Amino acid sequence: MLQIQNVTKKYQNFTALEHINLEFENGIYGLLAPNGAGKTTLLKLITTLLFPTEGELFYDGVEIKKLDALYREKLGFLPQDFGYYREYTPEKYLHYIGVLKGMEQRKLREKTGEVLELLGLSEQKNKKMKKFSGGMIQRVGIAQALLNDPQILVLDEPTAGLDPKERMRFCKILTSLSKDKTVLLSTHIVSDVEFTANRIVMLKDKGVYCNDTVENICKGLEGSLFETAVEERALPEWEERYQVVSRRREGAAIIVRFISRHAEAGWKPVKPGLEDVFLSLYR
Amino acid sequence: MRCRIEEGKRLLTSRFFMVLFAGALVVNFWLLANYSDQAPMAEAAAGLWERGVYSVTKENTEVIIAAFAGKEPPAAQISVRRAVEAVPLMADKIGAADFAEIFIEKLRLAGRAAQAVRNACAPMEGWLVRDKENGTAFSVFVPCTSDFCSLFFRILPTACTVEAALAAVLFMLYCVNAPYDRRSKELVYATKTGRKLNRLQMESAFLVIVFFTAALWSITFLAAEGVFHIGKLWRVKVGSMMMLDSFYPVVCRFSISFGAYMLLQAAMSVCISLLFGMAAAGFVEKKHRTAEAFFKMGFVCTALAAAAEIFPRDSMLLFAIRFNPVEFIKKAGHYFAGGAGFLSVKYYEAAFILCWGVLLLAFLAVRYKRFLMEDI
Repeated sequence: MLQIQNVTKKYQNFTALEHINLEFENGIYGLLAPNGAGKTTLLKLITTLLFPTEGELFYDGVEIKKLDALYREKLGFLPQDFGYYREYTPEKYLHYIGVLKGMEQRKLREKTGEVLELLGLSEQKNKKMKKFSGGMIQRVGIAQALLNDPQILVLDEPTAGLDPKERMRFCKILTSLSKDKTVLLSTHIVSDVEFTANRIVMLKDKGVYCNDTVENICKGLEGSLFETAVEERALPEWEERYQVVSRRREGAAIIVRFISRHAEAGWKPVKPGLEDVFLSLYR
Repeated sequence: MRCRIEEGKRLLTSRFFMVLFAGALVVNFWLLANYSDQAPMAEAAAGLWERGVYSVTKENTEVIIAAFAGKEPPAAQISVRRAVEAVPLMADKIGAADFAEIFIEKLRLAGRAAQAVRNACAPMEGWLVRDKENGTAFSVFVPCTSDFCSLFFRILPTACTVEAALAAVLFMLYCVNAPYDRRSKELVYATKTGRKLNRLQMESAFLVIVFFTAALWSITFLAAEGVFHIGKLWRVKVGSMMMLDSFYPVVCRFSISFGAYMLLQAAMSVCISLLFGMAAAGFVEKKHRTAEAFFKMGFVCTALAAAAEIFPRDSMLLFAIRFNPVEFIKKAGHYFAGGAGFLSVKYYEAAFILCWGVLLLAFLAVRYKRFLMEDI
């Protein structure tokens, strides 16, 4: 189990995260927050790239600083923007990363074949990566994160650059992996985590806003989310009075989805989804 | 260990390594090609050694002159006859004081600095006597072709050392800063090896630098053998040899063959390239910006060379200023040797490498320790 205890991270005069307390067990955790909310900082703290200004991180009750390489051995990380050697083939690249991860030669060979197969890269394993599309590169990135069979899998915006089919496939892989692993998936694409994550962690104002299941998070908005048709010229006034979550045009009218504490005639109550919560929170 | 091997493999199989190595060889081959007209003279000298004519005596003067007949380069300032006949005379006339004066004149020294050179050159008298006694001073080499001597005692060693030092800087920057340059730092430093990889990369870069320098020297001198057919001339003892360098010989502190002397120069070249590699690592480890580190290093080297050039010539501090890696590179081909404008006091090379090596290693150790605690 990974525990974050009262962690604060400051960059000189700027505080990115303040008094963060979180616990991660096996399962998929979706880390949702808009850009600049501290998602990457949190992930970097977990992956030992940053050191907390205050507080501490523990893995199975031991400070990760003390565990050092033993902790990193259990880690699989796909950064948001990862570099690679363009001249390398996926097989060679995975071999290189496997060596950095301290894997045994035999196990590395086995796992390389396995993850290449899993990510559908077997046929391209001997092609130079400089010829790959963005989606294929991203798949190689995911492959390297899975290579050491990590206990903690940290994925920072992993679906960026993947087409819908690849995203679906990726979510399927994640679900199969999450049985005996802690998977942390940071994204601002709500649909990526809505149906795959066991719990959602939302960051706001340098702290944790919520850490709960999708169902419980959405419950908070139940009975307060409505849809109604509004004339286009009345929209600005509407937006001032209510927290509008989304809007779409239907003929001459605009259908707005908004939050209100009370209901009025003509307003259609709507079942809230995670996207509604997200949009209402980071409006 | 496997990380070191992987990093070494990555560097050795990179296009960057190939280009640098090929570039350095092309320059060296071009130099050899430029001096290839000295080949007949070198072959004639080697032929004399094959026939057992090892040193110039009054009895064999005509044999030596005949061996070189018709092979003299047209632009030679001194004829073979004059050179060979002058050898015994010059051996008697040239002393340590002459070398001191050449050095003082070359650096335009005065006052205490000049006196220091006279004192430092005094032991050379003993080396000269030693070489006259054992006959080394009269060894047959390649007469009246100062170009040939300067090719082996100045140009090729300097070229190899400069190329190796430059390559060392570039390899170190390429290797140590790769996670930053390739934007893979987050991925790399989150692995089991983590930040320790920096040290391992540095060590692999050192191994590659040694390999590069050794390979460069080996191939260059093998090619030289191919061009000049030096053969037995590799066995000529270097040391106050009057047929070397237009009567101003390389005076080595110990009696050593030409081949072994070149091997020692290569070893020194390896050391100097390692020092430059370490310096490059020190520069890049601070901000992890490759281009900035490269240009800063270039600026510091230029500043050091300029400071040594314009420093007052009557102060002892001049020698302290010259105790820097750039000046050390300039000495390539004349390590362990006095004369020809280089002051080389006893243990100078060892002291230089030891002092700078320890200083740079300590600096790198401090930087590495800090890096372990830095945010990525």
